Amino acid sequence: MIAGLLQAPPGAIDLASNTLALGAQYILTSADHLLFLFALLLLVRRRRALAWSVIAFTVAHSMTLAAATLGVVQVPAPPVEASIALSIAFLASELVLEAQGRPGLAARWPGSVAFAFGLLHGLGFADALGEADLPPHAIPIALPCFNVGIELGQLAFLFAALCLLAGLRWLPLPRIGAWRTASAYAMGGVAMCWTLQRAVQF
Amino acid sequence: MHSYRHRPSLLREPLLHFVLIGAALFALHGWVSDRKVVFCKDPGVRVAEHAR
Repeated sequence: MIAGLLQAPPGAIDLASNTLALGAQYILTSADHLLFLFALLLLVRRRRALAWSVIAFTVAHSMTLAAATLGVVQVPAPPVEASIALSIAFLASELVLEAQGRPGLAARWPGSVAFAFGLLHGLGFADALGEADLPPHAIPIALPCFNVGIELGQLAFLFAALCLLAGLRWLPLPRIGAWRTASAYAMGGVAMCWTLQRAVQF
Repeated sequence: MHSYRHRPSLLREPLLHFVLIGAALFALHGWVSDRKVVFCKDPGVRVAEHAR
C-alpha cells in the first residue's frame, strides 16, 4: 500500500501530496494512535486543557518523528509499538481511577503526560515513514508533508470524536459515568492484549 | 472509621484488571488463530479442525 502510493514521484509536488496523503491515511487507519487520542479526549474534559494536551502531543511526536527519520534517534520498532499500546492502557487506567475519585498523573498534569507519550508515538510514526523506503534526497520534502498529513488526520479524528461525544450528551443515557468506565475497560483490555501481542515479537 | 474507597488494595488497580482482560483476549486470539475452519461444498456442513 505504502510502496504503491509512493511509486511514482516524478516531481516535488507529487512527492509532497503523496506523503501528505500517506500521513493522513496512516493515522486514520492506526487504531492505537486513535484510541490514545480518544482516551485523552475522555480524560481531559476542560476545553483549554484539552487543547494544550493535544498541542503538547503534537509537538512531542513531531520532535521524535523528525529525530528518528533523520537518524538522530534509533529505536527498534517492536518495543516502541508495545510501549504505544501500553500508553493507551495507562490512560484507560487513569480514566477508571478518576471515576473512582482517585485522579492520577494524567488527570492532574494532562499536558505533561500527553507530551511524554507523544515522544513515544512519534517514534511509531517514524517507523511508518521508514517503511516507505524513501531515498535520502526526498526526506526534506517528505518529512514535513508526512507530519502535516498526520496532523490533518488527527484534527479530523478529534473533530469527529468531539461531535460524537457532543451528540451523545443529547441522548437520554443513564449513568454516563458507568459508560465512561466501561469504555475505559474496553480500551484498557484491548490495549493490554496488543501489548502482549507486540511483546512476544521482541 | 476506614472507608472502602481509601483502602489500598492491589485488586482494585485497573491496570491489573486490564492485564487479566488483555491476557484472556490474547489467549483467545491465539486459540482462534490456531483453529482452521473448513467450509465444505455441502451447504450447512462445517468441519472445524486444528490447523496444526
